[in-house]
Amino acid sequence: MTEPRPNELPFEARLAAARARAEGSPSPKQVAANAFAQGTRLAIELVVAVLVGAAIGYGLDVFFGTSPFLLLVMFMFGLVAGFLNLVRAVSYEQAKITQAELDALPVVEDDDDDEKW
Amino acid sequence: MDAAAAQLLGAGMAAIGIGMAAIGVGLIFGLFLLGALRNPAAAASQQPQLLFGFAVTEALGIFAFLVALILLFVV
Amino acid sequence: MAGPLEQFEIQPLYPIEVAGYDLSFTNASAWMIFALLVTWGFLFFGMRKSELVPGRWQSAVEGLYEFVHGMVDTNIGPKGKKYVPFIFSLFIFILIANLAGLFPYAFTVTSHIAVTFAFAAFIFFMCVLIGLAKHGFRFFSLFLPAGTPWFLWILVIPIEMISFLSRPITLSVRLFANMTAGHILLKIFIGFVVSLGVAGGIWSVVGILPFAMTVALFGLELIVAVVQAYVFALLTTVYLNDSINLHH
Repeated sequence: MTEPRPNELPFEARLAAARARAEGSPSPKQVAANAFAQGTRLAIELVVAVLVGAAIGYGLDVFFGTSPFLLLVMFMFGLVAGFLNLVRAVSYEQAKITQAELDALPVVEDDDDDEKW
Repeated sequence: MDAAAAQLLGAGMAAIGIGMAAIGVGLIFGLFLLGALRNPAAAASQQPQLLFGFAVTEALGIFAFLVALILLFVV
Repeated sequence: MAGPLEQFEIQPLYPIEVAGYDLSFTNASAWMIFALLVTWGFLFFGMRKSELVPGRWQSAVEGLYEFVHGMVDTNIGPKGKKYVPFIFSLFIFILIANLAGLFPYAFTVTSHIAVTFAFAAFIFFMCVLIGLAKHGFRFFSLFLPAGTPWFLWILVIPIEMISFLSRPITLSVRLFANMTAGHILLKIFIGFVVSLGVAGGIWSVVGILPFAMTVALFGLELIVAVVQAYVFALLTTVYLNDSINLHH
């Protein structure tokens, strides 16, 4: 049987559409693996901001002789700065995801062809 | 107690915090997969929240690790 | 057998002392020069003929350059064009240094905080100077997001300053921590293989397990080496973008 079957082209089109949809939305496992890889770098961001704040506070304490009040205050500021860094990085990720979803939208195709074979 | 022994004991106790962070990370990813496998289409849109929760939990683990390092090498 | 931390030791190969300072030619310097030579050879011999229809080597070089150019273009925009050579050199040097460190008996240059922090501090001061040169004192509006009410200034300014000052440290610590942790892990598992093999009998058979783990970890380390070089270059462009375009 060498002649092309009548619904061969629609099937391939359907396959391509399904593939594009599948690539548009990664599996939960991929999402988790990606979050793990990205998360370690964001965790360092939070820790370093706290440490920088504490170090600045310690330096100011030594300079003004007000140990340990400035250390505590700057520690809190560092914590807030760390969370700010984190929120910024996460919203950057969010923007990328919404952009990817917008790009993936028009691949949905009408696939209810009623051809019989 | 010997001062060096107390130092090592303290560092070991600080390392418990890393294990606690590991429990937290396991909970976060386990609960994420629990929800994501019920509704895989929504999984990708929840990645930032997953990222945020994981980063905060992991940061607390790194703080515990830092305390252990400070006890071992600085104090 | 050597401990897991011994691979990071710096040994002087050719002692030099200038005015009381130890400026010896060490194994770290040797591997940096090695990375430089590999980079130079890769680029020089790839582009020596520079045909209109590129061969395999030339298209590898061009592909890498296009990759960095695309990254700078999406993050900074048309103003970033003159920084492409800098980002490209940074990326390829860290990439080659990371990959060269994976060879047995090699020394990983980027597993030293001194090296990565030197890079990060240079990038930090470069960002500040470019920002000051381009925008003058308006550059300090980086510390004050638009639309902040005046009574929040005392809170927002220190937070933004800490956030800004933590940049070079995150940049350097990330690369350093990833390379160091990976190499220590590799060394520990390779140590298991050796000590189980020496133990004899059934233990030598069990030694296959850490060996398989070493192979898997090595694949992971290859990925980490490339990804960390990419992340370093990407964050550099993101930070440069703040200095050049100056708005959040």
